[in-house]
Amino acid sequence: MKGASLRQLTLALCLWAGALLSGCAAPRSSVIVLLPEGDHPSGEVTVSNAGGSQVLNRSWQSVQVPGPGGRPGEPAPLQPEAVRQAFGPVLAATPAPPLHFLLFFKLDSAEILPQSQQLLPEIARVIGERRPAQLSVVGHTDSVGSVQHNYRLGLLRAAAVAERLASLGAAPASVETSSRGKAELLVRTPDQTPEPRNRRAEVTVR
Amino acid sequence: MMRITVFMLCTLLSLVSAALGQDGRTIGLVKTVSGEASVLRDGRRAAALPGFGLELGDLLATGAGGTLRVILRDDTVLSLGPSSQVRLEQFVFEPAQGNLGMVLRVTRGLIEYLSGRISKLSPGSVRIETPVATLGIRGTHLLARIEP
Repeated sequence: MKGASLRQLTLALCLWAGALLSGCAAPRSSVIVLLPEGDHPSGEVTVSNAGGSQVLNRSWQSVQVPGPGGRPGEPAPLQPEAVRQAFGPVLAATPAPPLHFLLFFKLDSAEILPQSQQLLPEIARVIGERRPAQLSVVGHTDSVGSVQHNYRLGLLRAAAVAERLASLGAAPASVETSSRGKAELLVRTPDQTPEPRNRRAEVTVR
Repeated sequence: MMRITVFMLCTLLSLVSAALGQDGRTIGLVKTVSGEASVLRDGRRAAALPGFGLELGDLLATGAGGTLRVILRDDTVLSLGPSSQVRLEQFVFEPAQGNLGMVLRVTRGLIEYLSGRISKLSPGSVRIETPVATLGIRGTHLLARIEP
């Protein structure tokens, strides 16, 4: 336990000194730190090279690698404050997470349903807020009609959304419209089944 | 007749999309920049300005006081601290076809990586290559300081 906390302290000091003096006296080590991911449990990172392999699977765990081919060290926990000090410049601004919206359409048409139209000003607003924003619109259909017909209908729906947003003054830096036709139903139905919830466009603002 | 009309409409709309800035090769976007930051593509260096479209193979680089934050098409967020270099080496995001994969090559510097949908849909298909080790990613958020 004592060894572990000493190692943690050394690592924290190294990180801190690294930020200030660009490196500890010994050959500079690389460091990898696992961070919490919002409300989700942290994922997993495997750090491996010719010398060995280590797995990080808890928030604030870190591993040091002394150099190419140098054996990755044992995972050690770090204090969040030490990490913030060492990585300050890169952590300066946490990005807003991408936003997703669903819009619904009339049967066999690229006309957006009135209730979904009410969402358009809000989408246009977040595009402005996230400037430069990337807008992606994926059109979908229900399972009535041929694959080809629905692919085209999905494209028309996606394009209709992009145009309506543009007419509301939204000016994303990049726009991507595409169609999945009837390939990715939201509500699973047999083929040739009318289903309002499948006549939709998925909008992502990044 | 109906089919022809629909076809013409599609053509027209795809032209509209093109005019709106759609580009099949764009895999991401520069979100924020401070200090010196650039993108190297085909041996040419361009200043990394907010809104700059990123393509496969681009090398992102920051100067001594620079930082750069980019967002990729699958919602991956990548930040570079000062004196850092990252190449967008592989990016495959075709969820409908089940084709997913990403490789980032970090040559040196400070990076923050927040995984996007590629990593969530296909854990294990994302790698960060560095001169000292390979990082295998399973849906996560990490920081790395890479000293070559």
